[in-house]
Amino acid sequence: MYDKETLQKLFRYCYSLTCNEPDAYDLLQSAVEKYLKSRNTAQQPIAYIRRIIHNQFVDDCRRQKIVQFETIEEDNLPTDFDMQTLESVVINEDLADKVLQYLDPGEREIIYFWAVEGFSTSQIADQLDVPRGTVLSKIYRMRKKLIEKFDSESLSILEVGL
Amino acid sequence: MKTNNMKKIMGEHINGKSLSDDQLDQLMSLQGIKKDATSTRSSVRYRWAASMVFVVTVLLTALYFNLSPNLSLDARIGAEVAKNHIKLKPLEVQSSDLAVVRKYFTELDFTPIESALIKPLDKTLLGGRYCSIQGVTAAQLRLKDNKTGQIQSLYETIYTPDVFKNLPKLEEGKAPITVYSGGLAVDIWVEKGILFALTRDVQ
Repeated sequence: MYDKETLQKLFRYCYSLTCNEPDAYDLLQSAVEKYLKSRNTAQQPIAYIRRIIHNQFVDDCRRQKIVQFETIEEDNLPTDFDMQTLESVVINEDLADKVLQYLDPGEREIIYFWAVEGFSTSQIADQLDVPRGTVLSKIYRMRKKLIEKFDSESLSILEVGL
Repeated sequence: MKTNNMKKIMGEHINGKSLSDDQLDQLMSLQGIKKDATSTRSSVRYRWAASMVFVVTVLLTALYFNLSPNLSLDARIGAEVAKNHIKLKPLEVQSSDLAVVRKYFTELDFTPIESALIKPLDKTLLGGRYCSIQGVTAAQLRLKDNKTGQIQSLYETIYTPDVFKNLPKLEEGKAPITVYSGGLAVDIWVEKGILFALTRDVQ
């Protein structure tokens, strides 16, 4: 059973994936129904339902052909970057929604774990059940994508830690 | 314009999103947790206060439904049913045999039945999936109209007067009520203790 506080957190996770509040609610409701049906007594019920939400969302996207979940190639990537790569990005407050809309769901999911849950790269990799290198690749590409998309007044990079 | 590091701004932006009280109540209800299930204290004073709150709530609810009989509830059911129908989520069981579909629904407090308003020869059953109406677990059956090819969703859930109030009952000679939402018509009625909601295209 999930209390109200947990449901709010899960809703925010759903919102990070869908980028749309009504869809986020539908996704959460569907996941709770699935969880109840499974009669699962998971030791980590939050991680368990997050997994249900993730899988449900991927299935929905594939069925509706909204987005493709592309595999990430890890070649030609610099070796000296980490979450610090994202920490150095400074943006306008008004840009938050545009950034979310512009990123793909996989990238938004990383943003959620990083900015809301405060997870490290390794924790994100554990949560997503992918190698740490895959998360790093995604972060690197995300940063590049954002710099290319937004002008220097909206988004800038602090020269620290890189 | 104000700038800040992306982590802080994205965190605040996402944390600014939240479920409404209605949505939270529906999700709690779906889990079988009552809205105000906190009254486990034993003090007489607390019980008295809780009783007074209950009485006032019942009076206000009765007053509300006398002033606007079921309109908002019908609309809410119609909107929920239409919205779910439009998504056509994958069926969890596929069969044209109601007996097979029934066997799948082991977690329900009722048995999905045929309605006297739906002639079996006019529709083909495609299958079903679990869903909920207003937080109450329900069966969503998918039908195909044999004449028009129209895909329809038929929701069935146990009818409880405290949740679903005074919806039209076939046994009392009443006709289904129709509400419109998302470009669809949704017929709602109660029959043999089951609440039915059937989507159909608006002509």
